[in-house]
Amino acid sequence: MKQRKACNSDHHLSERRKFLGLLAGGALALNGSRSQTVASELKKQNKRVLVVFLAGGVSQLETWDPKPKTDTGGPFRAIPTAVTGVHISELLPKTALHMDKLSIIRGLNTNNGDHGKGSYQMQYGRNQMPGVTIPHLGAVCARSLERPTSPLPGNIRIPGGGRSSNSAYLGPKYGSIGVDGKPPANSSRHASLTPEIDAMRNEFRRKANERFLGQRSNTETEVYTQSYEQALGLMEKRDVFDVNQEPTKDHERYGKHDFGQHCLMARRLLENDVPFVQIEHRNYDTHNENFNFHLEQLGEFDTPFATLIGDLHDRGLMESTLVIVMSEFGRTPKINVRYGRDHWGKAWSVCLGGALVKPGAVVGMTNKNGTEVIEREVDHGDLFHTYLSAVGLDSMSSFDVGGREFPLADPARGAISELIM
Amino acid sequence: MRHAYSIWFLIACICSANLFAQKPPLHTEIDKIILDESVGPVAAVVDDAKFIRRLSLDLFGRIPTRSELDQFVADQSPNKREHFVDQYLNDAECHDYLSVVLDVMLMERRGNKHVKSDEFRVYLKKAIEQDKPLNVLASEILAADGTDERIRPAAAFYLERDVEPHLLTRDTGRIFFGVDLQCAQCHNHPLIDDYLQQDYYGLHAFYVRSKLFQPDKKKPALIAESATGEANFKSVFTDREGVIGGRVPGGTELAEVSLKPGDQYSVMPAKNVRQIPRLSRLSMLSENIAKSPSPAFARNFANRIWAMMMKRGVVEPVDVHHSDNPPVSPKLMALLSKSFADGGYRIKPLLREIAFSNAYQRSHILPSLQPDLEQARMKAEELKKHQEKLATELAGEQKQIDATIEGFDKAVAAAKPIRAEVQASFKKVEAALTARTTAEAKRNAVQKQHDEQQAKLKLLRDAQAKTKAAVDGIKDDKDLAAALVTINNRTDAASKAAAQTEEQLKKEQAAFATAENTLKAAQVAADAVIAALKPHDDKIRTLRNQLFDSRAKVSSVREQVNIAKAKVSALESLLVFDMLKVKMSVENEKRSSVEKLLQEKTNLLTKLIVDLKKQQTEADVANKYVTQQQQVVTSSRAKLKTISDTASKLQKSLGEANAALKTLGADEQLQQAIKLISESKQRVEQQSGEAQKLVMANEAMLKLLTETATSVNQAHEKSKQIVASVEKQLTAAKSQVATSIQAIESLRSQIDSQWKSIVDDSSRRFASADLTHLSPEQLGWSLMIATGVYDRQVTAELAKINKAQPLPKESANDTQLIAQRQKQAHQNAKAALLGSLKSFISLYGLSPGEPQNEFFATTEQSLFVANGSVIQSWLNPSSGNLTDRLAKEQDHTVLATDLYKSVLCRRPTETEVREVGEYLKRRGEAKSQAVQELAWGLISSAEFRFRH
Repeated sequence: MKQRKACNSDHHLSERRKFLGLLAGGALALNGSRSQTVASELKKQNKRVLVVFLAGGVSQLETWDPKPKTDTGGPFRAIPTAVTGVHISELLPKTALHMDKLSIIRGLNTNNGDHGKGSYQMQYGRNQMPGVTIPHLGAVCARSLERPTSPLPGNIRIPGGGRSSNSAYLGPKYGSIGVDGKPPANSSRHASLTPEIDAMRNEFRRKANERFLGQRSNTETEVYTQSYEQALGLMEKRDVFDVNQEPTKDHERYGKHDFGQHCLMARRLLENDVPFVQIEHRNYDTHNENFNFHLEQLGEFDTPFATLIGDLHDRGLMESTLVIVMSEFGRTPKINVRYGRDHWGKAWSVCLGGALVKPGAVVGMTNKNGTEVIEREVDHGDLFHTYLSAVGLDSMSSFDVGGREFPLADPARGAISELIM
Repeated sequence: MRHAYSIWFLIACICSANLFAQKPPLHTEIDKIILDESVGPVAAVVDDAKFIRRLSLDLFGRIPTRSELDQFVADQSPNKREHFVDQYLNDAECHDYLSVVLDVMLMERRGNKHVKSDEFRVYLKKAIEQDKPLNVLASEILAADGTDERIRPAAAFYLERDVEPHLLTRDTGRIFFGVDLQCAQCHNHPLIDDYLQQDYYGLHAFYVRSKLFQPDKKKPALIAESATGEANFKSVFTDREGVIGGRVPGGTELAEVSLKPGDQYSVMPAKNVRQIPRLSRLSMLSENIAKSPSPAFARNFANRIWAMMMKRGVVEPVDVHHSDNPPVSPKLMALLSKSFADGGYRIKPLLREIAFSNAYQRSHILPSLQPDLEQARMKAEELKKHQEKLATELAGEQKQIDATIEGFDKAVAAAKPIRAEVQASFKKVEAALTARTTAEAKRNAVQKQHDEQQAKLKLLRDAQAKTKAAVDGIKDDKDLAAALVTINNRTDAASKAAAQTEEQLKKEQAAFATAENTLKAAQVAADAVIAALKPHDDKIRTLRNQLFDSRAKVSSVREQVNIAKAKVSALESLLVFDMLKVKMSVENEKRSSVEKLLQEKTNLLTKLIVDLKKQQTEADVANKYVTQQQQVVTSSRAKLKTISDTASKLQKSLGEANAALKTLGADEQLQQAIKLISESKQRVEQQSGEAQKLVMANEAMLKLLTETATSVNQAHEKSKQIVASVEKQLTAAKSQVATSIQAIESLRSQIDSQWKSIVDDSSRRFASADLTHLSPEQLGWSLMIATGVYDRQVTAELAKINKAQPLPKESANDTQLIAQRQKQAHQNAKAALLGSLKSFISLYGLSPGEPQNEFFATTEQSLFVANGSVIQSWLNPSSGNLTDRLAKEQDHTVLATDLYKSVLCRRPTETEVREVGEYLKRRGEAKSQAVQELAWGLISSAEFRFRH
């Protein structure tokens, strides 16, 4: 059971180092026999994750698990989708056309109705515990799917600014960076320097490093010197953060409103191989007028989201990009007196697709009017394992941070394996 | 309590003074152990420049200034290193820096919610100045509830964690005892055998009753403790349940008296009232650390103090002590723990001894010396055998544990109903308490009524008597008589009511007496079950402590196994390294021999090809001769044939002519013709003979030529074959060389990685220093020192001081006053630059609440250094800073020297001086920019960013 550390005899090289080593070995191995490990490392190397967070608690009944013509169903119909037999709410007509690329988990029970707790559960994969800090899904992905040579940050959140501290023991490097359409701070060359002169002083720095590190180096010095090269790389790629570089036609297709722009920005970042991107669509906390609000909000959501899925598919990125549409919880089947639905975590849904997720699947089931899960009940811990598995990671493995081991996901939970290809 | 500490401390000091008198100094012992246990090469002690950079970083939190560097290097006194260590340790700057280090260690960059970080640092600084025993400091911090104004900052540890019991459990475990038990909160630690759920809850028991108390947000937050609440736990894996009293990691479970409801508080809980329990678990924890700190406490802090100087613990990470992560040298760990404890848990003496050691002063570069490998081989064999023996022992101990667990489970089961009875009896006491309070209140109410009625009755009776006397005296006063009647009536009524109340009072008194009896009975009953539970609890505790002991034994054996394993692996590394080197030299020989062969064959082939070409020419010539001769033969044969034909024609003509002559007879003409023909024939026959001869001669010649050509051609063919075979050999040799080169490459990379592991291991065993990153504070201050920002600020502050209070003429030579002002200027400068430092902490520091020693590098950091305005402004030449000095310097050697000394704290090498010169030359007129670029190149270099 216990995964023993090879105590002092072993050097706790960083994952990155190990990966670089494998990559170097891989280059040789590609000619002849390609080892299993290299293959699996490469398999995960190309994966990335997009989270679309519907803040406030989107209704499962008006999205992925409609119950028309029941006491809880509300006024909207269920419509057929690209997958025979799978129906979703009529509020998502364009998304329905792409359901052959997505899957639905309908047996989610997170047993919570608190915004803060739910938001934490879904993004961290565990219940919040006092005195315990664990990394956000984005940080876990940024570290596990790190592109060692890419100058771009690995964990991006749209919108926002600055680096947030949601990476816990993984360190600030993997904390999410908020992007608001502007290039990162200090990424333009100082006015007093020309590129040639900057190159000269960097050459001087490199020479000094070569001399010093030629005597002795370690992982830290490697990471440090690399960070300057990445900074130079980032200066070259500042435009990645400028959504206006996308063609006008695409701006029209996605819509000029915030969510449309964020979806387009997400596409741009994913195309530039950023391992983790999270966007947000707000205003789903519909205690009043649930149906009008969902009509309006999902109306805004449907087009850009469907366009994004279509584009990712057309550009061949869907095979390597896990897309998750999540929320902090669902909404009550019971319709309250203000035509609203309240907080509900007992039986709700998440939509996901791409990467290693089987397309067009539906896992889990709620009863006739959606008041409880009757088949394949899962919770946020299971989902977290599933996400990691879907991008080729061993969700039961541990991070080694300076000799401390931390499991990637809650060891008491497990992935929905039937959903993973 | 404080009094008790100091007496205890005094005793400890006296004891330790005696011990120290007989022993060699600690640093000698440290070095002896490290050398005795070293498994590979050992690095040399560093030169003065490197030493002072290291010392300054570790004790002042910054690199030395140029003048400090020059002064130290120039100092000729013997023992100057020891002298400077002492001087540094007593410097206020050191106390300041150590308070920052301790603050970061204890708070991990939390602060300012309830207690200002600055105030906490002042509190810590005072402790450092006084060299307060660390267990006293710790017990003060762990007892602080925020109420004592004098040590209010001590409550920061609890308050800044919002007095969250689980958080306090984890951080107390990590920071004070070196064990991170977090993963044992919900179950036994999944990855670490030594960390059990009951370890976690033993510590949690101290905190389970505490909470943040701040009913009024405008008033300071305090810590409030309740008298009830237990550390109950249940494994989510096995459903195994338990409850445990207070126990520090590695200690024993503390016994505790059970207090009944009613006896539990000195200040009862109520709304907005900070309750005070009679028995405080926080005090239990604090007293435990003050009076008899567990070995884990001493070991943890000895290890942390060691790591403050050495940048790596004897156990690393410093908060993950367990048998699968054993100390690299148990002897060294024991020595440090013991010396620290014996020395009264004081930080500075330990820092001092560590700084004196060679271990502290070793270079990060390892010489490639080889130790006696035969010995290493033997040692590895011996250790392997030892390991096997230990494994058997381990199995035995494990069995022992299983047996103890069985007994323990039985005892827990047996105690369970009685524990329930205790709870039930407590409930009864509580109910009786409530009943008694109610009865008492009722009785008091009736008593009050009774007393009032009696007073009223007395007044009426007095009035009655006086009125009666008046009626008796004053006859026929109807009004008076009527009044008496009224009074009589009233008195009767009052008397009746009083009698009734009296009756009720008796009843209530009786009820109260009953309630009190019930309470007493309940209390007696409770005492009885408490007494009944006690032997069970004692037994459980004894068994649990036995279990802890057995586990400690198992851990110790496991630890030995792991240490042996690590050592075997290190020794094997050396052997493998050696083997690889042997292989390498064999391979190198092989390579040179195949290369030699290759060369020979190449030479041979060249020669053979030359010969072959010559032979080719010869053959060509010979063949050509043959061809030519064949033509000659053919033509001579043709000529012969022509002659022969002519001869036969003549013969034929002669025959015809002779026949005709026979027929015709002697015809003169005919005879003439015959004569002519005969002559011709003779002539032709002669010619034919000659031609015949010629043909034969030619044919003979041809034969000769053909023979020659054949032999030449044969020789040529043979040579061709030889060349082909040599070419084949050559290809083979080439591929051999390639194979050998590949083998050498692979060996080289194996040797490199093996060497790297030997180097890493040497640092782990303190036979060489490691390359470690500077903390955010160290980096920030060092940058300010290197660029000269700091010096400029000091100069400005000094000017300010002198302007505000001009130095009196008579004090112009008062070195003490001047030094004092200098010191003040330094302090002011540091305060003024604190804002600049904060940007480093936010950029280079880890998130609050995370262990702060992890290294990370982000592009934000590099971009900040590369393009940010802060660094750029520090690099801009302005009066007296680094780049200003450099820009004014004409001699590039002097310039380079100043640059390297200021930034990297050492002289440049010749190559470096030359490179600086070349850079300046390339930049020509733009010297002011060039020196900024050079300074930037060095402050962004790894040599600056790391400690070595």
